[in-house]
Amino acid sequence: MTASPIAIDTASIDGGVVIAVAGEIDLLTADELTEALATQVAGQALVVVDLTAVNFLSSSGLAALALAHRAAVEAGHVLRLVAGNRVTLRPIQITGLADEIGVFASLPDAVAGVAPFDSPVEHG
Amino acid sequence: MPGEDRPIGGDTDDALTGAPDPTVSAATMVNPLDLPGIPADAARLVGVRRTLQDWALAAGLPHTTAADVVLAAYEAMANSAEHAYRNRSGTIDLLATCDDDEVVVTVRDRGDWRPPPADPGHRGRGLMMIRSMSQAEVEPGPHGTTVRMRWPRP
Repeated sequence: MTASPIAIDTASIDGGVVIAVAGEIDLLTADELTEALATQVAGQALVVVDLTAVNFLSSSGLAALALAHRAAVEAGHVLRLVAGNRVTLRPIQITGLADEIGVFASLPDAVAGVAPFDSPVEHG
Repeated sequence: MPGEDRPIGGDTDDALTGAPDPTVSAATMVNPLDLPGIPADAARLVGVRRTLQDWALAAGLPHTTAADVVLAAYEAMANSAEHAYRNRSGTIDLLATCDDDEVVVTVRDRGDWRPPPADPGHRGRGLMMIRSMSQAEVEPGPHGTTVRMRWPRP
């Protein structure tokens, strides 16, 4: 009952990869996400991180996403987030991370890079 | 019987059914959640936040408020585990109380307070989240740090 494993699945798309994360991203699991993202942002032009199945997102998880985003930018690559639920949107928005990283409501939007969540609203 | 799997928060069945016992004031509908001496360890904090979530929902908080309570309290505890007790073991005390007016969660450690950098960079977003989600008071002291978070009851 104390473990909070996450599942990280990577799938190829045209021009990049989708990394679908499921579970709870916290102090215990953030390092696993950091490592998984580091490999992909170094080698893929487009990395879409799908947080749809994430049901807890703490600041350590945000740090993992911010670190990966910075690495992607430095490599000339693009990292986008899919966060359509309050549980992931809330921490992303209140820390200002949504101002740095493109956040999309759905995976198709994120892959296409259109209709970003550039006018975040509270889902509460 | 509903709620029999909840060791904490007696008298909540009536609250959930919307038929409170008129002889019981709302302030006593949920008992305080008092968890002293939690090992400041990432693996242990998972169970603690689940216990707190059960308590917050038993207290009748809206799901959005309960989520903020759990996330803010988790950030306070994670900060203790990650920074206050860096390179050594320690414990955290969590106390959550609820009355008619507000929910108060206090997280106390006995470690060293480390001021967050002016530019949090990749890290240090925890305190920002706590202050965004609650009315927070952070009291650093020579014998540890106390973070007190309040939410007015809707």
